[in-house]
Amino acid sequence: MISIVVADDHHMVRQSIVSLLEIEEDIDVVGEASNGQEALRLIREKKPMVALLDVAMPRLNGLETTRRIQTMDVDTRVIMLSMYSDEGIVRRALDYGALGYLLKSSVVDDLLQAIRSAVEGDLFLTPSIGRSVMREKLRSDQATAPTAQLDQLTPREMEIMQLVVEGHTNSSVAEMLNITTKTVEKHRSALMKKLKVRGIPDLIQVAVKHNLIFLDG
Amino acid sequence: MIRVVIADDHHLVRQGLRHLLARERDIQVVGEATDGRDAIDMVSRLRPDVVVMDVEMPIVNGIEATKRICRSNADTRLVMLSMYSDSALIRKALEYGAGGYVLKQSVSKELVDAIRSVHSGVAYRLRTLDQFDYSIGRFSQDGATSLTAREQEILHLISAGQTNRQIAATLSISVKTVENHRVNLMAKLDAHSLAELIRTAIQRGLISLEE
Repeated sequence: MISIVVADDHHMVRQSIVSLLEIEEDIDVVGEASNGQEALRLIREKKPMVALLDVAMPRLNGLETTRRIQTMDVDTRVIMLSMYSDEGIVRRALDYGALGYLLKSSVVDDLLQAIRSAVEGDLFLTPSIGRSVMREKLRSDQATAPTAQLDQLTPREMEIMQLVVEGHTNSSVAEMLNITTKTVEKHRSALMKKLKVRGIPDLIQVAVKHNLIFLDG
Repeated sequence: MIRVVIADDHHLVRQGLRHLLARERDIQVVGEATDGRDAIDMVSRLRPDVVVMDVEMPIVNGIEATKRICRSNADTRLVMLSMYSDSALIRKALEYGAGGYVLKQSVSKELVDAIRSVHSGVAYRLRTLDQFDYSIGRFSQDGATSLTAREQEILHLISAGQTNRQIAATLSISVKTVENHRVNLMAKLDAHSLAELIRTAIQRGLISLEE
C-alpha cells in the first residue's frame, strides 16, 4: 500500500485529486494539507511514502517544503504538482530533491505513474517539460543565474522571507516557527543583507521574480 | 437529473471534479471540454442544463466562452470556477450571463450547491464571496477605485522604498500628513502590514513591479 499526503491550498483541486487517488486500490491518502507548514507537520507525523505538493502554496511554498523534507528523518518521496512549466521552477524542484514534476493538465495515468515511479526511487517528469528541462540541464549545468541570488539563503531564511513577504509580523513569524522574535529579526536582517535589498518592497520584488510567492494564486 | 458539462484545461482537476460530481444522485456529467472553444461546441451539441466553466482556459477563455454560450443557448445555465476572486472578472462573468461564481479555494460541496441553485433558476452567491456587492459589481471592501490622487502618489513612493520622512520631503508636506495618508491607504486596501499593502496594490494593478 502506498501512503500519500496531498498538499494544495485550493481545496476543490485537492479534493479532486484525492478523489482520483482513492479509486486506486494500492494508494492510501493518509493526510491533506493546505499549506507547506501543515504538510511538513503531517509528513513528520504520518511518514508517508509519497508527498504530492502544489508549488504555489501560502506559508511555505512547495519548493521550500521539498527542501525541508530532505532534511527530515523520513523517507518520503516528493512529487510536485503545478500549473507552471517554467524551467527555473522545475529545476529548483529537482535540485531540492523532488522525484517528480507534473502539470495539473497531466492525465491521471501520468499522476499514477509518477507516484509508482517515486516509490521505486525513479524520476518522472510530465513528458512535455521533461525534454526541455533535460536540454537545459545539458546546456548549462553551472549557469543557474536566476536562482543564484536565492541560493545564498539558508532554508530557514527562505522560510522567513516568504512569511515576511506574505505580511506576517516578526512576532507572528516567531510564534509560527517556535523561535524568538529576536531570532526572526536576526534572520530577517541577514537575508536582506545577502539579497542586497533595503526594504520590504525590494524584498517582494525578489520574491515574485524568483517564484517564492505567486501573486495571482 | 441535471446534465452537466465540465470545462477546465487541467485534466486532473476536471477528471477529479467529474468523479466528485458523480457521487451526487441528481447530477450527471455528460461531457468534458478542455478549452473555451471546445466548450462552446460541446454545449451546442449536447445542450446540457449546466456548464461548469473554468475562467482561465486557453484558446477561448472561460469568460468569452460564457458570453457566446449564453447568447445562443437560453436554457443552459453557467457556473464559473476560478482561482481568482477578482471583482472585474466576477462582474464580467455575471454580466455575460453566468449564474454563479465559485472559487477553487472552496469545498466541492459549494460547487454542487451552485449547480443545483442555477439549475433551479436561483443565482448562486458564494459564502466565500460574501464581501462581493452584486448591486455595484465589486467587493464592498474594494477600495482600489476610491484612492485619491495623493494616496496613489504616496503608494508609489512607499513601494519605491521611501520612508515617511523622505515622502514628506518629496511632496513638501509634513511627516504627520504622510502618516495619515498611510493609515488611510492601509484601511482602504485592507492591509495590516507594509508587505500586505504592497502585495494587495500589486494584485489590484495599482502599482507594478519594475523589471
